[in-house]
Amino acid sequence: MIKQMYKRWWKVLGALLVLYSILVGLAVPVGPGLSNLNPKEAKTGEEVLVQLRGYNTHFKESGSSLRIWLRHKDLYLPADQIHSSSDWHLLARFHIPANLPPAYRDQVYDVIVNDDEDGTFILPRAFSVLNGETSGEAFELPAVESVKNNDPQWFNFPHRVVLYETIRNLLFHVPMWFAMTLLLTFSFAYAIAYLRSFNPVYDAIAAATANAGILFGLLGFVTGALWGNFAWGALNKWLLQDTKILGALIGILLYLAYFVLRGALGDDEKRARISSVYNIFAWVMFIVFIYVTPRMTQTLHPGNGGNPAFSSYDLDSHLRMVFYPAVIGWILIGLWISSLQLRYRLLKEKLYDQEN
Amino acid sequence: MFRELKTLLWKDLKLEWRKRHALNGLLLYVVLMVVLVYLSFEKVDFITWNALLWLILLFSSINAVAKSFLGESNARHLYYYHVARPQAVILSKIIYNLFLMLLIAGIALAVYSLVLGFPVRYPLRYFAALFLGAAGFATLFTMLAAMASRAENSAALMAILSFPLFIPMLVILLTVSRAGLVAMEDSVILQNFALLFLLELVIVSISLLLFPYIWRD
Repeated sequence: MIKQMYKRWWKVLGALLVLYSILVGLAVPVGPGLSNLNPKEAKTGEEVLVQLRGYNTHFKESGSSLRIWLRHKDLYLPADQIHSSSDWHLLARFHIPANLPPAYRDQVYDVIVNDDEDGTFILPRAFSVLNGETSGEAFELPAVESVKNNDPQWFNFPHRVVLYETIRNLLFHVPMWFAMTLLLTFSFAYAIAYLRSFNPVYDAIAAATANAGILFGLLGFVTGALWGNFAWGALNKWLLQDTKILGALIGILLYLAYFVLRGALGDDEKRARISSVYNIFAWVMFIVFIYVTPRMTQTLHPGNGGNPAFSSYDLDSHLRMVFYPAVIGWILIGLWISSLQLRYRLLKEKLYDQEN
Repeated sequence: MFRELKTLLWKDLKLEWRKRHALNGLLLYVVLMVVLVYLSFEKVDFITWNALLWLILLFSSINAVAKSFLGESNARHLYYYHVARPQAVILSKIIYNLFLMLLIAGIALAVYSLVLGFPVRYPLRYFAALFLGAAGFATLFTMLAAMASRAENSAALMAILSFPLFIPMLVILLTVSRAGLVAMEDSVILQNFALLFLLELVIVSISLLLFPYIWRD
């Protein structure tokens, strides 16, 4: 048993990495954030009592270290009284000065919270300061106190508005896409190898990897649909309007057509030859579609059309610690599935040869 | 190579002329499609106008190109294999299909704009897009027709193989032809046209490289 595992170390590694990514990916909490506040606006010269709702925060535990500001550009308005009724609920009293300069009136402010346990977190563009009383007194920007720490004291995944808990889907959805693209590329490479050598095993490898590629494409599609349903709203509003989703769909359709072609061609040698040629065509058009057309049409995915890519935004160091192992793990699992497919195909052929 | 190409092309044209009924059937098919579209829509805005025209061209071109390897017997193909280079065969088919597609596109556009109007604001750009589109159909589908003709039930197979491969090109074609309908920056138009042209060049080169593998039995 141990010897077997040692010989097939990459399968063991793949299974362990996937297991790790599932366990850690589901168990690690999302970082602190603000989910709601009430009221959402105030006039200048008013005193306002704002109710804040946190998520995975430690308001009560942090006690006196808790601080809250309203921010617009360089202006930080501190709350003069804070009361935390529980770890997730907070009351803050703000006094909006009557002598605010016009540049700070009728603006949307960010809400910033800092405490020892959770570090600093922001609810961007959440609170409006409207034009109310005015006064002629000169206005001085309040001094900004320095804070002890900006990062939470505990291991977490980033808290993002819109995504919230679904950010962990990144660890499942994106690796599916990576594994699919890689497996299809393997399939393409082996189709070329077949045409160069006419070795039937290469054709079987191309078919096996394409098969696993389709599986990962479908999984990526399902995980993406779940995610999009949460982040972008009802499925029918975005499903076929996004080039990346279309790209995945076309990848699946192309390789399903590849298998239809294989089924339609009876003779083994001819089947291998012609389906290898189709495989090459399919891969080229697939790559053209993923890399070229997103520049021409719209996409909701990060990284295109004005949306920031992960590297700059969503993928912080904690997510990376799970994301890269997940990618490698799922790719290894994909190769494992392909190798089983390959063995099945070769055995079937052998059996067929023996019968005839 | 050039001489082979010319002979093969001339042979295809002559063959088409002698079997005029096939060509006539094809043109009738295009006209019928246009009539069907007209009866189902009656009135369309320019975006739908454009999309429908490309769909009509897609279906007619699949029908037109599919028969390019079916018209002649396998024995005849074996003969060509002995006297001509495979590259000359596929290239002559592509060029011949380009002629055919240009004819179909011209007739389709004429009948189509007769019944559904002609909302094109920049005719020159639109005709250029149509030309490149016809070239796209010819380049992509010729190779697929060669593949499909190797299997039984090749008409159905041709459609199954072409549609997914065609979607990326359709997206590009719709963008490119929009240049004829709405105002657009010259640099963007040029970039889109160049992209489509490059894609066609890639398809032709792959066809030249890979055709030798599929045409012999």
